[in-house]
Amino acid sequence: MRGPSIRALGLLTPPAPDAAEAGSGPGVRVRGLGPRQRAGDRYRRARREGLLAIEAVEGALAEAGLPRDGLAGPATGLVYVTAGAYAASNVAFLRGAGGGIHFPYTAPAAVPAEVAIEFRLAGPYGIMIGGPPAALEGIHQAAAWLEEGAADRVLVLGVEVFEECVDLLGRSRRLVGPALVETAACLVLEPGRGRLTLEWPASPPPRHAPRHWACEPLVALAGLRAGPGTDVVLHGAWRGRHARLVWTGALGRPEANRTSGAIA
Amino acid sequence: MAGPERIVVARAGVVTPVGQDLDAFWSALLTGASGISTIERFFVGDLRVGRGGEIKKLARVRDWTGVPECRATRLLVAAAEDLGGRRELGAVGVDPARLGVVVGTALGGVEEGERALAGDGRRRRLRDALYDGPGENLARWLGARGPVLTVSTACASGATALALGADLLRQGRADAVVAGGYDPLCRFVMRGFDALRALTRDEVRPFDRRRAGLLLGEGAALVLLLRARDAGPRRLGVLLGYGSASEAHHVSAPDPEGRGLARAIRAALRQAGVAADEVDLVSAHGTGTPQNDPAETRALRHALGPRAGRVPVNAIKSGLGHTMGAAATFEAIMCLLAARHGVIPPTRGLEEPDPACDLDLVYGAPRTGRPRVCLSTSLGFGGASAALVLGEAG
Amino acid sequence: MTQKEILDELKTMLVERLRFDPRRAADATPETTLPKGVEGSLGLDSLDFIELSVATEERFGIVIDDTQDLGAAFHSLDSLSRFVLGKLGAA
Repeated sequence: MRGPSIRALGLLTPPAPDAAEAGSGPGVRVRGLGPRQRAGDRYRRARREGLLAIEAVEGALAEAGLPRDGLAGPATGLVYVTAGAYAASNVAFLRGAGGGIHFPYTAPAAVPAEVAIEFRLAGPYGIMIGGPPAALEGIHQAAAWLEEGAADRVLVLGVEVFEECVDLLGRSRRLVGPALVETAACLVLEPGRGRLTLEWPASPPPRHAPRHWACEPLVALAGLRAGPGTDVVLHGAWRGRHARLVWTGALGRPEANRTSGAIA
Repeated sequence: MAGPERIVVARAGVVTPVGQDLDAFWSALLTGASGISTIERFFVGDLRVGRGGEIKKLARVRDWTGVPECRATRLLVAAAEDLGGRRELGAVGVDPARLGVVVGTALGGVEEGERALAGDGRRRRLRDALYDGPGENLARWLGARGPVLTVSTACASGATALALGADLLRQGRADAVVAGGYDPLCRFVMRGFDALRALTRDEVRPFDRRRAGLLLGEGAALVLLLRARDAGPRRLGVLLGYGSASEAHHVSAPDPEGRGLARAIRAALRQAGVAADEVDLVSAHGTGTPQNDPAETRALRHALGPRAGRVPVNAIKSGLGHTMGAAATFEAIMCLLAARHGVIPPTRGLEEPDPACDLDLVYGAPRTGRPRVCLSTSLGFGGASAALVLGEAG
Repeated sequence: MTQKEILDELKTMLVERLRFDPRRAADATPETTLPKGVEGSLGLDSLDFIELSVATEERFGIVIDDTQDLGAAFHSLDSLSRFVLGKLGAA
């Protein structure tokens, strides 16, 4: 598979914890991105997941130097990846907080819809649910669309929020790990010249609890962009399986490997 | 699905409100049987509409040992049993490390989430309550050690899953893929659609001028996908193409012009290398809501041109209910069965076609004809549009 | 109930059910139009109207026949409060 090039990566994560926060008590610690404010009736119904998605795209637009309508049209594809971002809205609905206008927002599809409507993205479209391997599959899907000419540019969008479900999540430390970090990320990919290979080795995965869930590989990618080198290897482990993405020429422009990151 | 490799649908397995195996499902489609009843498994007394396609008893699997209680998982396992289960996969001779699983769902494990919130604090519940829980459980039951994916493009999920499964095979990342969709009925989704006033108190009547909304259903549908060179003589049909697009219109209402779906259809035909004139059957999304059916008609006209008025069109959500994540897979299977048997099932509930839906609708009785190339269309919340092109086994 | 009281209830619904900012709702007048596409309106779309219709039925204990053309009734806060008043009077 032809490896795409990275046009931009918008990333929102909370600031790093201080030493006092690193504990191992019961339940799970969530580092949150907090409420999102956005003026205008247009966003009146939007949920936190959707607002974070929009912010991540804005970060990517800023890095890419594109205007707000610079992604519009049927030549821009969109893959949304998440393991839990719909859960916040689902739980709120289950707890009786919302009526009919809330319900459509409980679908995972509502988050990329917010972005598609806001930025008028009309191209190929996919949603992968799962932990880090879902993001690797999302990058692979993007590469496939670019290679077959189904899109000129593809967004791989990840959002994970946990604050609203922290009590539920805390019941399953084996799945969840001791700490979770809310994240929103938007990777903008364009045709490149490298190679991309994705495999799911049958060997047992490394023991690791991904704090950013599906956004883990995107956070790792942001870190790699800040360093030297042009090739990346990204791992994703989830539920006893793992995937490995080998991507040569991912970081093709060493002088421009800056991620637009917002410490919220 | 780029590339010359043909992807074969070797087998299918289903569990539905109108039958718990493929033969029963097909018979029910031909006779126009209804699987709609008053829901009994959970409380619906406070809702305007308490009817849906409920599977009263999962009859096929006798021994649930080792299978989580999660209803979504059990629907998948029941469909996998009809598919032939582990025995069939063993017969195909697939190395577990090369067996992939791709499932589509609108609700994921939400039914388990309901129980967790209701106070059932067993740890298992959270693992199964996440969207990819049931899919993972199916993979474990099948002994699959290859890629395991869950997709959730709302009501188009059952089509997206098949396309992604085909991609895994073409890319050489698996040698066999079990792909399809599922969703259970639960209070969460009934309450939601009831609050949207989307459910009808009448029958579901796709494309009928009296249509008044949809009803929900539950079920699971799975297919075994193989590369043509690996598939034996036993084949249901071929997956020729897939297309997807965002409508970029509204979080829940369809674009009245159907432009996103039209784009998805054109992309699917292009990938399949098929012209509009070659389409012999359209399996419509056909939910029977006031908005969907005319929007879908417009999409077909935009994408198929003059052919749109001449190709037979049916919709099968009326007897099953709208099975959400499973729907597009059920519809794909129906297309291949129509090609095999040379007969197109009628659209149950359609009696007085809406003049605005000026298509060659199949209703009243099954129609004889062998559709060699079929187009199946789906539209979901958030404007997730998808189209599949399927071909006869040939 | 007076029309003014109904109007105030509708404004509460705008905040509690349709998630409008409280100041926006407080600033609305009887003449404020509701549907999207009308200059200066609150910009309600189909999803909002379903919710508003359900909320109105629940709050006032009336039944709204959604097979009828409700465009005129739901045009502005004034028309909607008159519509509700009429239903209550008929009850």
